[in-house]
Amino acid sequence: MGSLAIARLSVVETLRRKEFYVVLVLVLGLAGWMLMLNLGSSGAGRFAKDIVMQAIWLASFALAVPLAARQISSDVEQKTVYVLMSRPIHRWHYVVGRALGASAASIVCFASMFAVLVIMLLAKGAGSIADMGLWQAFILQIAALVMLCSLAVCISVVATPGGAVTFSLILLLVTRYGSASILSRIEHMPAVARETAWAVYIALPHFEFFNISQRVVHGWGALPADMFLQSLVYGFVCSVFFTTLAAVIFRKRWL
Amino acid sequence: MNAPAIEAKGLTVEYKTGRIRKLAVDRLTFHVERGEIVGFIGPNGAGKTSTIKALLDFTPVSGGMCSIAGIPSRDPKSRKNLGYMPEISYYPKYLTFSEFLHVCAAVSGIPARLRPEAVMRAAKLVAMEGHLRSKLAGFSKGMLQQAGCAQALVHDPEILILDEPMSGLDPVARMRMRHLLSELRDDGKTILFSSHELSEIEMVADRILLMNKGQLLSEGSISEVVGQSDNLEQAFLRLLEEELPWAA
Amino acid sequence: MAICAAVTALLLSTILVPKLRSATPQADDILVQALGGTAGLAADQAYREADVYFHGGNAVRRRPGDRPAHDLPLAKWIARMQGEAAPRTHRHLGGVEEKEILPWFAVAVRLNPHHIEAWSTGSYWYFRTGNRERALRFASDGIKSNPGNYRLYLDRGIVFYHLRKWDDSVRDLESARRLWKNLNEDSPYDLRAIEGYLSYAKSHRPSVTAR
Repeated sequence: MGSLAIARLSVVETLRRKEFYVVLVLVLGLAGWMLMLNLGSSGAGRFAKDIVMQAIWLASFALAVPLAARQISSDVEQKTVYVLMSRPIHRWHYVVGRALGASAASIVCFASMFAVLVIMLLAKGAGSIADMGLWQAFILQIAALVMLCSLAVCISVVATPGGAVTFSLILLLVTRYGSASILSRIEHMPAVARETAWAVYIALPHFEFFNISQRVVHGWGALPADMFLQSLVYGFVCSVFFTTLAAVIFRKRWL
Repeated sequence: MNAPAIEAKGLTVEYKTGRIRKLAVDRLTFHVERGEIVGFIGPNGAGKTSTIKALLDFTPVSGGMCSIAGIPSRDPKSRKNLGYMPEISYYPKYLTFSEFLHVCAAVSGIPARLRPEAVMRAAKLVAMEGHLRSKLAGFSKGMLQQAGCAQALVHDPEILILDEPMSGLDPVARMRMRHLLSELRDDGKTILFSSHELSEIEMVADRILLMNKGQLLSEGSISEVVGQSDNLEQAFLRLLEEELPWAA
Repeated sequence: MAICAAVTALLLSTILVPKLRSATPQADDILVQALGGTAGLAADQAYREADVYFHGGNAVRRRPGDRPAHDLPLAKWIARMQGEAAPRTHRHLGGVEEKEILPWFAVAVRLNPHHIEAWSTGSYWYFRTGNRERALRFASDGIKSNPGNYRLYLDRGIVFYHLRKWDDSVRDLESARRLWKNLNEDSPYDLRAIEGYLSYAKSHRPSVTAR
């Protein structure tokens, strides 16, 4: 109950800050523009779908990371943590509550923007709500957001909010968009360095598992059910790991 | 059952900043019996806040022990019947007063169906029921202090630890706070409160704990501590005089 | 908030600048100025995206799941997951689907009005997907931005040829021949194409006999 109440705090805070609404308006503007845009390819919807999806995916990350990174650090800095920690809760209740709250708030923001995407697709005739791939992409992006929020909360317990944002974004962008480059570099390393690099690469949080937007845009259909479930389990395990690590570190922290 | 409401035995709190170690609390031993109001006084840097933080498990204890109602402070159960009002009233500004109290009640374990009643009761105790729908961002310092007192009382705790409860309050609000503390004591609650307002302490406290440089300098009833001096302030300065040779 | 403001400014700049349909891309395009030196990189990326779209989202460059994974089961599992997340099978768009690649040419030339490949390939694909008037306009806009380049005259000449507008075709092909330079390995083939189409176009013109 304590964790849920703390989580609700994060959602309320996000919905009362202005950034989310500015981003939502931008996404609405972008979607509207895509609807009106005619680049000599009437009837072709992939371009609009791709642009709006990428914008929404990136916007959801841009909202989630700072939100998660400042949860605990701003509480400790502003001493608002005292009001919560003076209650009969363990420190891990608090950390779990903040991680859950950041995730929930990010999901709310993302779901709002996703609704804009669905409306745009229906208006443009470029998609169907029966498209299983589209809903898989939605769920996987939620899993990615939860994992990212847990990571950012974990890093924020040991680093400044700015550091947590930077490091989280670097990990996200490197794994989501740079896996091919990393692998080609690893291949050319000497044997010992290669083994070490492989170990580090395997240990990285692999956000690229959750990015099936290209499958959706180009009509490759839904992921096989077992792959979809494995991605979700992976996201869940990573989220639990990062949150647990944050709780363990926070246990020793002076308030 | 017979354990004191608040107890510290040989409590030691040490801060480490890089290689520098600072002893904030040095083998402090005291207790607060159930149903009494104890004033916790001392100059700045005496270790009062460090002691309170140790009681609340905000800082780790380097030595000794401290407990609330017989339960070691490290156990969150020790805070089940504890209300704490921090010195600095930083609360989530985006919440309304009512929402803030609801969150505090929820985290304290009050069931949802009982929370509205608990929130209203706490607001009435601090005479702020008219501000329940106002955002905390619009509160003055005095109002935030009262909001802080309300959140400490929302779950009807048996034991209260108040850090500078009079800070920022106007004379009327101070009188109300003194009256509230007395009422709470008459209800059987135990209160440990630290304050620099010695006159306020003199009016409400049953006992005094005087601390300096991490150690307990004096302990006893008001009359015992005041002794030959005219008032508590004089006694305070007298007791510290040995530590401050330049004091007149 | 700073990021939001920057994104808003960028979006507004693209909307306020006259639409591609009616305007000749200009060097002082607000979007191009806003992106500065990265506009060229963005244009190249947009051109590559057209190719990716033609292959159904399958990037020609190697994907993570292609690489031989480490022997560890975990590494192999990661490679498999990466491979499933992104399109893998080599395929080409066909029929009506080919239209999907067109927006990227428009974006590429908007970002870099001197991207000859984008003008040339875009004009071809507009024509191939049945939008002949657009193909003509596209090539014309390319010529306006790059009046000294023979390729675009060749492309427009070919479009006119297929539209059976022989005089226009001959005019453009003669311009292409006049401007032709041996710029790269494709240039000799372009010259052969110019000569060939010119000959055919002239032979179709009733009043002119082929040389």
